[in-house]
Amino acid sequence: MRVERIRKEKTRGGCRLAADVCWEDRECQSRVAVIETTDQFAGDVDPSPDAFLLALAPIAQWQGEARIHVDGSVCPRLRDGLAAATELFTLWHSHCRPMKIEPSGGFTPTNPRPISRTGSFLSGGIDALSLLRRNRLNYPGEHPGSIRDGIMLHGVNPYDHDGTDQRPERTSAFQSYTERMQLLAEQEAFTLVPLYTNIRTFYPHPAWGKIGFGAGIASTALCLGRRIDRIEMGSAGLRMRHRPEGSHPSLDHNFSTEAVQVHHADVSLSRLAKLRILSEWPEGLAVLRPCFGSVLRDDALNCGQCEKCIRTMVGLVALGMLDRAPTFAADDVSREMLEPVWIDGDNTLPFYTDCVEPLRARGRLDLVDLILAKTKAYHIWQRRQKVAAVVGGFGVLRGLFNVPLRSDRTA
Amino acid sequence: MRIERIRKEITKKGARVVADVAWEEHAAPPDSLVIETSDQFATDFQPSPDAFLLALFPIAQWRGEKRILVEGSICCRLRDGLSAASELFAIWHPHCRPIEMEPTAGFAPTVPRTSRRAASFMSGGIDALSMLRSNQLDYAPSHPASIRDCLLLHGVHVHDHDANGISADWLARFDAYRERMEIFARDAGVTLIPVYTNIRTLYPTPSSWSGIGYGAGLISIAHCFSSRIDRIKIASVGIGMRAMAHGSQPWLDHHFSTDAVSVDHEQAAMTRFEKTRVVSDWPEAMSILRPCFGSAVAEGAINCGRCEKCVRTMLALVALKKLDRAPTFPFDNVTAEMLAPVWIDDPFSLIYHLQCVDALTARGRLDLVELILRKRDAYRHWQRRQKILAAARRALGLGRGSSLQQHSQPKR
Repeated sequence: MRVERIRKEKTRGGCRLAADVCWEDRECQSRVAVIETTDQFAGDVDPSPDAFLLALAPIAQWQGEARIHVDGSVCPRLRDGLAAATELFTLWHSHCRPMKIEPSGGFTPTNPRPISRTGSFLSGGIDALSLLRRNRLNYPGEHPGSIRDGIMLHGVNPYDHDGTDQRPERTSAFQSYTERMQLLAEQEAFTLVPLYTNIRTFYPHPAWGKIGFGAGIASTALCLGRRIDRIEMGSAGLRMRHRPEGSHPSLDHNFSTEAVQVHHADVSLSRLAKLRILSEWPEGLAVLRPCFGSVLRDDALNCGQCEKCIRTMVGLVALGMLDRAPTFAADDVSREMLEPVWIDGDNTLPFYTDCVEPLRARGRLDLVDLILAKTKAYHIWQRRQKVAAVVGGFGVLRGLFNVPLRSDRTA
Repeated sequence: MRIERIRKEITKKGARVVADVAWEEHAAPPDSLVIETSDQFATDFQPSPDAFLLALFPIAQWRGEKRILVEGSICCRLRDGLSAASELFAIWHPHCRPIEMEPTAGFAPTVPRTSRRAASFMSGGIDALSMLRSNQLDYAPSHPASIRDCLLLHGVHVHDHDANGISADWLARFDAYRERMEIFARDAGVTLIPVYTNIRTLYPTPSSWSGIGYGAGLISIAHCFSSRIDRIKIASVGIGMRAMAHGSQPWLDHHFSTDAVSVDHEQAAMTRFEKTRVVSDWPEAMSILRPCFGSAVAEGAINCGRCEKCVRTMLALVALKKLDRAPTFPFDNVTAEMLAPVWIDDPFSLIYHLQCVDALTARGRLDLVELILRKRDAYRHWQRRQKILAAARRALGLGRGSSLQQHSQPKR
């Protein structure tokens, strides 16, 4: 892969950083990777080769590129971190092979800004909001670890683009959510920094979730080296049993440069523990937006139907707090609402199983029974997958065992 | 466990920070953890509750303590990091259970010094020297990530203390080596900070130290220097990103950061062989290179040339055709007879030896290659046998220590 002509351009409402991306080992048209911001922050963003390298290295490796050539110089700390990350990807995904990093300007360390300043990503979901809240509880405002900038990203959700083009309705939904978040920013004394990127469109499914997510998001912060020297990324709430994924406690710190240190925060907290923190913070509940966003209507922040909405609502029911979350239309989760939700991975399962005991304590045995039934079905499916892997060499037997997960849905 | 009376005391040679350690669940007499430095660095040295918590947390968890009470306040970042580390330890070692942290003054973030300054640990081995060399090649001296201080530790090797306390013999050897290292440090433009600790004596078994204590034990010392540095670099062990339960790991050490001192596990993806290449191109480092375990070092020598670590290092230098330029080894070559007695009895040792195979083959040292591959096969055979024995033990309902365990070492 070649990442060339890394540049900064003025746009009508602000500026954008862009790079031409050409594939070398696969038949694919060259495209432009973009990170944009508004006028207010145009002076704070730089066309950092580190940022574009980080954004694209995982997908280059995933797609079998032998090298990634970047115009400009790359920070040695990122070079070493990416060497570690690419080795991890090789261990996690057998088709990922080692890949060379070739910056045209060699390896030169970046410099942190003289005065420390911390930013965090702010999606509006549980992880980001609980991170902000906990930071406010732990750090006085003048401490260098206190979050001063909340970076809101547009373009990293699956529905933000239609192919490679922005979907106008998603862009306007993002803008209207930004206005709501602005109120929170004023209340909590941080600056909201909106960024738009198309990095996600370089990652075909499932590469974003598997290896791209953390690097893609962290890359945008590396453009902000003039403004921050530390970026906080909320953990997924799976603690240290987190299975390999694109953002992971073993991975994200490897995306640091000397200018911007990446910190995978709150790694020891479960999602339910984060929900508890958030449920005691009305200002956070007022903007809570965990939704995947696939079926949003009108001005609603959350659809209340997708897996992420349901998992969050189940957690809030377990804490007896759903009625205090104004961004959800429902005040309760019924068995019928939970029933269509799939538990289809080790990284989803704990979100539900962690709720079992608190739900039982609240007498919600209908939900407990359903979660346990889904857990059982998931384990059966897992065992069947293992058997399928063993008999995989025998074509006929494989068909008998490798039944798709959907047929395991609990009735 | 209770960690109390954390204090700084002035000594004849400099200063020391001390804490009293009392066990609550484990039947053991109270102890003291001591960290000392020389006069020159006494003012930079603080009795940090974070340091003592970090040093003792792993062994408290290993020995089944339910809580660890610390006098003073603990940094929020270390609290979160230790929660993560303790979960990792519980995954690695089933007997390790969750443990509560109870600082008497609660949790409050520490504050980093205003101007940045980086330090590293310096043992004189391949990992530490390769890290320093790469750092100097990558960073201008004025860069905040440029290593300015090197911590040379006494008391982290098993032989540094005996039943009577500090081993005078080993202390003398350390001080002699320190003098050589001071010249090296001056030439390299870094400040050598000697530190003496008894941390290792609180980890009674090699498995508790290497399994969970090693990284935390070393890094804890750096937290006492938070008025001098805001970043400490600890070198990887050179096996890449493979997941192995070990006290210092690429996905463990950064959890030992505070807001005042952040921890970098450096050169995580670099093999020990590649590191040896980096060091072998640096004559000044070759003149003080000391990878030796040290148990059989002759008077005045730095490396014994016979222990597994010496032989593995010499093997890599032979593969790089640089052993004759390493004056700290008593030999200019490695023969099959020298390699034959070396055991490959753990996955780390196996990886280190296998890293040399291609380069040795290219140099025509097939005698050594053949021997390494034979040892690899013997190790794998032993591993398989261990698995079968473990399955048999489970099937027969036999606990640990049964007669089936007597074949518990790989063949030489």
